[in-house]
Amino acid sequence: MDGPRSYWQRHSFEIILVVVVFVLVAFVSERIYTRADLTAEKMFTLTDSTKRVLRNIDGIVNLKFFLSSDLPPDALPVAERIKDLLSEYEAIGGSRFRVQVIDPTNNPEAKKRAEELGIPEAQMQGVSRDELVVKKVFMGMALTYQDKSEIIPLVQNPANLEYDLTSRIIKLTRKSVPVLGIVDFSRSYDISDPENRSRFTLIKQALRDRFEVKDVKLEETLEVPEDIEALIFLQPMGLSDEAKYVLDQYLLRGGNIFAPSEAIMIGQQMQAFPALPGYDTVFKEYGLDLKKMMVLENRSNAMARFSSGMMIVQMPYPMWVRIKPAGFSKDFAPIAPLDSLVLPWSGYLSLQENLPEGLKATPILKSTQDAYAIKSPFDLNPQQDWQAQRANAAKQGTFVLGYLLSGAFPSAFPDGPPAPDEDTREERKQLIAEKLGSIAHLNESSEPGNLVVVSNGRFLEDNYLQNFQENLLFVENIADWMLENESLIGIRSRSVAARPFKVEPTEPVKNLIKFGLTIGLPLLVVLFGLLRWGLRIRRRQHVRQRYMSGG
Amino acid sequence: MRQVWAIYRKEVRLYFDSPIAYIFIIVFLVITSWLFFRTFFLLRISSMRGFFTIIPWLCMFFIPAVSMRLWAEERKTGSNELLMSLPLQEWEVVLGKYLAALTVYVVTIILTTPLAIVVGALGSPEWGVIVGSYLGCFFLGAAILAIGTFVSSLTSNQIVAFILGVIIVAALTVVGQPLVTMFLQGPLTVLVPYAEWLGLANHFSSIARGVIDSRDIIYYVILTVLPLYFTVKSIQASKVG
Repeated sequence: MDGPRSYWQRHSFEIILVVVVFVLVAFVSERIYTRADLTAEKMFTLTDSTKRVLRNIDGIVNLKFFLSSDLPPDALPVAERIKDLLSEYEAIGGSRFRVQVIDPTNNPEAKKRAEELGIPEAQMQGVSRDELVVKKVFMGMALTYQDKSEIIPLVQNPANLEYDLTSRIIKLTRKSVPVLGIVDFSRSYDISDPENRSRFTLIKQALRDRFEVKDVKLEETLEVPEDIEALIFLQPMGLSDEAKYVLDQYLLRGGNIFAPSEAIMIGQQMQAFPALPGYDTVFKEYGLDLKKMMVLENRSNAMARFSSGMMIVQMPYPMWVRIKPAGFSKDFAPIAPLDSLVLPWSGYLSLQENLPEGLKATPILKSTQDAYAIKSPFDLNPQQDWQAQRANAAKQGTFVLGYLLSGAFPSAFPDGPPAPDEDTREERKQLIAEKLGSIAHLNESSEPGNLVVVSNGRFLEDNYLQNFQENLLFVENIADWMLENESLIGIRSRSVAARPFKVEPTEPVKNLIKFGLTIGLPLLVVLFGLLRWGLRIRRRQHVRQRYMSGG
Repeated sequence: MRQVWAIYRKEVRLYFDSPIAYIFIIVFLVITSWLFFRTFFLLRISSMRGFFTIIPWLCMFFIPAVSMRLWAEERKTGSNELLMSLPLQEWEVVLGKYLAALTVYVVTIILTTPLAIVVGALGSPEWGVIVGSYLGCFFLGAAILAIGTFVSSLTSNQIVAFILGVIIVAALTVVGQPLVTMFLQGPLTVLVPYAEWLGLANHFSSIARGVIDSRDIIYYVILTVLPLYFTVKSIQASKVG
């Protein structure tokens, strides 16, 4: 008997073959694929850097996104965006990057786990039914790889999430820890201080907590150790020509330097004058000028405390420029999400007309367009007439207070290493001959390097850092980027527009739309059906009549 | 293809001459619009995300309701034997009937576009995302309908075909969700990527974001063609039985 069972048996080979072909197609499609991002700003197109990082993960990076379900309405689109971006990471990372979204709402175990990982319950406010609601919610992430973990305690703005995530994945999965070098030239303001302590103890400690840090005694050794991936200068004034040469050659060999450079010097008795030449003489050769005029902001500034007789007065101080969110370059992801940076008594930077070929300059810090610059002599009096200062300013408009130079640098020493002065001590001469002689001189970069210059050196000093902790975040982000910039290149900050209504419809209009589409449209379908039914009946009657009359 | 077209026309007419298509379209429109407007004016965001999020869950019930009669009814009334006695190949009949049912679904989805017009009138939505989402709806519906067609070909009872269809589609929808994958821990972690690959809703949410990925398209093509192939085999098997 040839029944259905024997049919399936007879065709089993064909069926298995077809299934195998489909499985193979699925398998191949998972490896060879293409994607098209239809969003206006290519929101879900991860940069090549991120793709490379994800594809090179050796093992599995697990991401736990603790996300409360009872978010305020305003936060819902943000949460969706974050989840979307995480899905893109999963799509590219495949089995190497796993995402788990956990809702700690009504789940004490998940809540406990989040808090153990260092993800706090954050207060978030929003508007719901025209009422202001404040909710305590979780919206943080924990990334784990082997026995290491990285935390993003609160993700409120997905604009910079790609940078935040990718940099953390790199940190988790890298085989060796890159070393940050700190070159500290500062001395205590207190001349009676027997230890002559640095004025940058807080920043150095903060960087030590996050990175592998080495102190570089540049003047004493005239060398940058080979394992140093990036260098941070603290107060680089009075540098010898030999030290400048070492730095120049380090940069030309693909080094990364962050150079906060002093434009204005402040004396013990609060007199101010243009700073003596320092590292700025080197970057001048790269096409960047440090202008030793003081930038002032009558509106965007920080509060400063001054003693006035027996009193301590606190007042807005235009000579302490505050960089606002709009002043941080969106093309430079490490600092794009920052809200504030305070630069006390700052100069500004300006590009020369002809930048060396192969070098790219990105302005990363900008004042508002209401800023102005004054020339020496500088009057630091906090109670002066600022409007009059502005009226008499040497220059008005937007000033660039930070630049990133990247790419191929020309040497600031085209004639080779500088010769020591005649009055140089013999020991020093020997050191110079030994160290500078061992450097194979480069006239142009052998590898692309990065130089970040800020027209202010004191914003990282302990007394400013205590009051303006956002300054620390700026340096940490720059250091992070310099240590990983090869892998993080091109990651940009994305604008995250929530796309709110352009017009707020009135209640009657809302009801019209709501009922029009929920009831009106289905009614139209019913009408169409009835019309068709009526036409069919009429057609049937017509046919019947024709047959009847014909018969 | 002429035979396919003939079957297709006959089936489409059958759908729209009976209340089936209208009931399907009306119930689908009422439910989607009602669910969408529950939060739309509250959030004040010009996005159709709320609408597209519910589509996979609605399709899980609605499409098997359309597909259940495709073959089960023919088997019950015996009209399949008459159909198969015609000079037609099984695949032509299967394809014609399938495309007709797909048309009902596509018409339903097209009738939801006034929602997109409202969203566009009130703000400036991501049109790329909306287009991607509609494309995702098409692929999702096509795959579920193909599964429903196959299930319908296995039984002569429409209710059984419906319940079986819902169970299979529900299983495929939830298999890639965190609800399921979170239980695949320890030695079972290796199964997570496979579970996610199988998940109907996972691939839909990817397209609904506005990202057209060839992997998602191929997944849906496989999930459409394979059940239709099995439907043809099932019809051939029942013919010899």
